[in-house]
Amino acid sequence: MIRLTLLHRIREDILSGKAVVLLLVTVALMCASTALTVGELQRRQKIYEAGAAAQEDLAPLLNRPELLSVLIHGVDADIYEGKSVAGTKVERVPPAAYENPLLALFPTPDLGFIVQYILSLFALMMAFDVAAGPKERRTLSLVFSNPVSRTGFFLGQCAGSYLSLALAFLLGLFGSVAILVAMDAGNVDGAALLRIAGIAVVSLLYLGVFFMVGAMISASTASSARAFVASLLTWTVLVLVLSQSLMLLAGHLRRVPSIEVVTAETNAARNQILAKENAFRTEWPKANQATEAIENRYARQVAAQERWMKAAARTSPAGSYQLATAVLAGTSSENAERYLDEVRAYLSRLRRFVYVEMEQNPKAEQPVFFRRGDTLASLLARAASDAALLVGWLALFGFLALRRFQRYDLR
Amino acid sequence: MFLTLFRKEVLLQLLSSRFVFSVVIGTLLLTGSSWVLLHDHGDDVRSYRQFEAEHARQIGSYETGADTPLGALSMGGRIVDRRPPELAFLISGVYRALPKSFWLSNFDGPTPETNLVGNRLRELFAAVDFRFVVGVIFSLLALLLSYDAINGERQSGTLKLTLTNPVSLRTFLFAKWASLNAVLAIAFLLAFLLSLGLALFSPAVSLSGAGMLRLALIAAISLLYLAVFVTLGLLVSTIFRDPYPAVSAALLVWVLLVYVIPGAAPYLAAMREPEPDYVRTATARQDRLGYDYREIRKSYLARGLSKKEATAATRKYWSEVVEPLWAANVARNNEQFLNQKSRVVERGRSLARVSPYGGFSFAVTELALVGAGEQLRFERAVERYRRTFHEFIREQQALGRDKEVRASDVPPFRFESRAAAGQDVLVEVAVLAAFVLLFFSAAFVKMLRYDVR
Repeated sequence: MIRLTLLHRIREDILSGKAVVLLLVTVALMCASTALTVGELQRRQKIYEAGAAAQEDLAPLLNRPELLSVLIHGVDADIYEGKSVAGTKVERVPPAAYENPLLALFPTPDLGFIVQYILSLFALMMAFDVAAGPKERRTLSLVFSNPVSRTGFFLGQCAGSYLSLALAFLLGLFGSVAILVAMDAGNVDGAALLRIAGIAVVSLLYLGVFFMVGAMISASTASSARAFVASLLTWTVLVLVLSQSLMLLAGHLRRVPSIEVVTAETNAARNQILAKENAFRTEWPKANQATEAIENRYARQVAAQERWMKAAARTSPAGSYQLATAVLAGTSSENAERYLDEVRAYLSRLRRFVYVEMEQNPKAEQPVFFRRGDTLASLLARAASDAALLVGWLALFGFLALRRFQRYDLR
Repeated sequence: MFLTLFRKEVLLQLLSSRFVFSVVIGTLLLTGSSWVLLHDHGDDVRSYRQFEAEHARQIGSYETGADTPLGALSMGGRIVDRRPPELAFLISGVYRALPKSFWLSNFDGPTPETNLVGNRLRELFAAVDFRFVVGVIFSLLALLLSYDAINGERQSGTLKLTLTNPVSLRTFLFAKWASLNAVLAIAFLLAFLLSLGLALFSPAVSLSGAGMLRLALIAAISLLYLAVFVTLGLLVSTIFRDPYPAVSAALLVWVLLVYVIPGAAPYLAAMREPEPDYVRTATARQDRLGYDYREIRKSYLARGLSKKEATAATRKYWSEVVEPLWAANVARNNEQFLNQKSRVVERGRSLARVSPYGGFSFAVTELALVGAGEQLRFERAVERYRRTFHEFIREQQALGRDKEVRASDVPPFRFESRAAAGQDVLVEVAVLAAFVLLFFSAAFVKMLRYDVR
């Protein structure tokens, strides 16, 4: 019986004007966004290659643009890249927004963004009438005059609607990957495909959560219009309000000084050590140690703040979704920070080499920068907790929806 | 009759659960974000004062004694800082995301002065501030208040009942429009005034007269912006006979106007070559154009000058020919970078104006002096100051290369924000007003032939 309802619902949905419009909009948006972000990736690849060609000794230190930043922009764009000034100093390339200030005003409309904000709305639009719709059309009591269980009918309805949404998303994703391959932005290998599959699974889970929110509200209200408004308000809270405002609060509770303040502090510490007569030559290692100590302390403070903010973000499915997809795409904040830590550790090593080891042994070998990459398994493991949270949300709302429908007034 | 309808509508809306929800969400978000941003703003103001004093007596980031060699000052350069805009407690804009301190020297810079990276998570999630709360949350609430204004009444049959009184459909539409705007304005002003109240009690904020005027303009533009979405809701409620398709269509348009168009604008604006490239600029301006002091001196010696004469001639050639060429190269590259950035911002601004949220964002961030345009004006001021600094070094060098100067003798950096910012946003205001007019006349035309059954 589930199968019958499901097939009926799929036929009904896929042929309805609403589903066709949503499908077309979804595919068009996803493909357009990929075309836009591939251009941005290619721009950054060009900059990376020019930098690597111009400064051979620094080339291994540079951050190669991440291919999947096309799908999930994350924090990849303005990561620490190197530029040689006066030998051992490496400067940070300013954030991408320094070159294009508009980037600081509006979020990047990448695939993750489309799923998070737009497709979740579509999920509500598909789900809000699973119960209230047939009731308004007066077919609900007719259905239950047959030997149909409520659970079976409800699950069939939900699965049918959800499948047409999932189809739209998968078609859009397929189009995006096709554009990625066609525009020859990079090598889409097996590992990349697996990560894309991971992003797809997390996205489908996320959409499932909102679908179930819609279904639950649909099974709790008598009219579909009211169900829709109620689910929209819930969407507003879950997607726009909850995680962002709690993150703001969490960041405030674990405040860290601004980077300008810490820079001034490191300058002051260094100046104090170098203030002695002729200290410039002898006291350098000590001055470097002092600044490194401050920088490491700051990095620890920031990491603690980020832990709090992540916990706050996980209060809503939207936060979990964003964290999980960024991890899978390799554009998460912890990825960026680990890279920075590695660069910082290497630079500290390099300074010791220049100021201490070279003095003692001019033939000493220069240390080599080694970047620890992520294995696929470690990426999946780190995304697993957020995916589990999404499964939890899905189970919660699914359970509530089913419960509500069991007692739904058919008249 | 208009007044009766208006009063009835306002009262009805004020008592609705949607309105209560709007007020609660809007007020909580706006006051909460202002409260957090006020603390950040206080920190910014304090550290700015500290930096301003410190950087005035430093060469680059190094402490200096009373008298410093001219050469050290020329190479070491200065750090200049941007004063926190007084309305940054309300709107983050680009101010928070972009460099506020720059280093510059005789033949290099401006370069953002910090090598550290702060919290990266903030880049993943949208910043909650006035622009987000009004631009995204309130605009959605505006649609939710108005999407069933006409067709809801038709569906429940009250429209027919209303029209049995001596009232035209036009008056009815006007009354609906006016009352919805009034109700939304009440919700907005409540949240806005509460967050301003928070600011008044904060020691970090001391509003000038110009600041007050800017706040008033920001409030007025916000109301105009919300009117766009109220009118859009009204329009869909006349186009669609039932509330559900109306709200779906309104949502699609909302997503397009608030997220898709403004999000694509920065990328579309940067597509046309040549795009601003900081690394290229910073590398190109350090190009020493192939001049070598020793080679020049050798060529003078080869011409038969004595060692002393050759040194003097090389010095003269160096300061009269080589250094002006270097200075011109640095200035040209910086100018090019700034011009390319200006073009990107201008193009993006005109692209984003197609959507009310884009126009609104530009208008309020520029009015609060935290926008992209104001940041560029600041960067131009820094570049102008770099030239002043260069001139100062040249003047001092003319008096003697081995001279010592005080760091405090260097001309100070000044950046005054624009006095009249109202004109900057005239186009945005006009476009927003045009949106209201367009949507309203469409609704009006629809209403002329509305089937009330």
